[in-house]
Amino acid sequence: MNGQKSLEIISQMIADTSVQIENNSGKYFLAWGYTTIAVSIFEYFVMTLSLNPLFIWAWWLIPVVGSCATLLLIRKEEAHPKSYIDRSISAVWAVFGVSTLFAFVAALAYGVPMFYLIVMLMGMGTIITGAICRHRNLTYSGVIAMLLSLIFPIKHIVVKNMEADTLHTSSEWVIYSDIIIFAVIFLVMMVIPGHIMCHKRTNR
Amino acid sequence: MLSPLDPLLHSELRLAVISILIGVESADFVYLKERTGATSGNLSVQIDKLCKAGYIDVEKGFVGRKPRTLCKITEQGRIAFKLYVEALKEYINM
Repeated sequence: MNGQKSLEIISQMIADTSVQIENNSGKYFLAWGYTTIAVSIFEYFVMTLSLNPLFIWAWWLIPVVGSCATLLLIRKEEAHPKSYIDRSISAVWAVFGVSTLFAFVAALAYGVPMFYLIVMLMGMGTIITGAICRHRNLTYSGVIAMLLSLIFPIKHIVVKNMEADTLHTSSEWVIYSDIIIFAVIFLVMMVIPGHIMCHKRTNR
Repeated sequence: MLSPLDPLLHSELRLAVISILIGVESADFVYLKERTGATSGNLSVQIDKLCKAGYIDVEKGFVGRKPRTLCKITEQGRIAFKLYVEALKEYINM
């Protein structure tokens, strides 16, 4: 083997690998996005129809179903090299995932605004992931989600003022519409960019 | 006087394996086999040689029920690759 051949091997292998290490987070965004939307729709109907507060525990379906889907996707993943990008993204989501669980527990225990906190945390995770794997769509959707999360406190203030003016408590629809807003934000933050990422990867 | 080329890296398959591993955190056996086009037997032998030289670490485990062999380049491997490339430059500029 001469020097020229050695150089060819090195450059070819490095070039091939750099194409392969492009992150494939799209399917994970789809899994978590669709799980969150499905559970939110389920929650909305059971809460408005049954008014049974025990159904609040159904929110735990999101981490349970999302984690199972993630494990299945990891098992089915094709052989590809693990890069520093993969490790960074895994670390980001491990931190934000645990933080979201803590936020959820705090919301149940202390009545902290759950949807606002969760969207803020997931939005931050999405922006960081977009920046790491250089997916602008993901970064923008994270920013949009964080801006949309302001709907929750604004709606809270507006509803409180209206209640104070009319001396009537709001209807269930107004109270539970937060769940629908939450689902729509997840559609913008995870499902749409997830499909774009998967589509780009398939077309490449 | 020209620096000698590391004989362990101066082989097509071993050089290909190290070139792949230099840019990633880890790669599994199936991926290395696909990229290099080598047979499983030959690749196993060459990976074993690189591992014995301390150039790569090999981790055997399972993903579900499937066995998986994961290869990572070591610091010693990185240094050896760097020296190999520097020596190669000397040969090409000769």
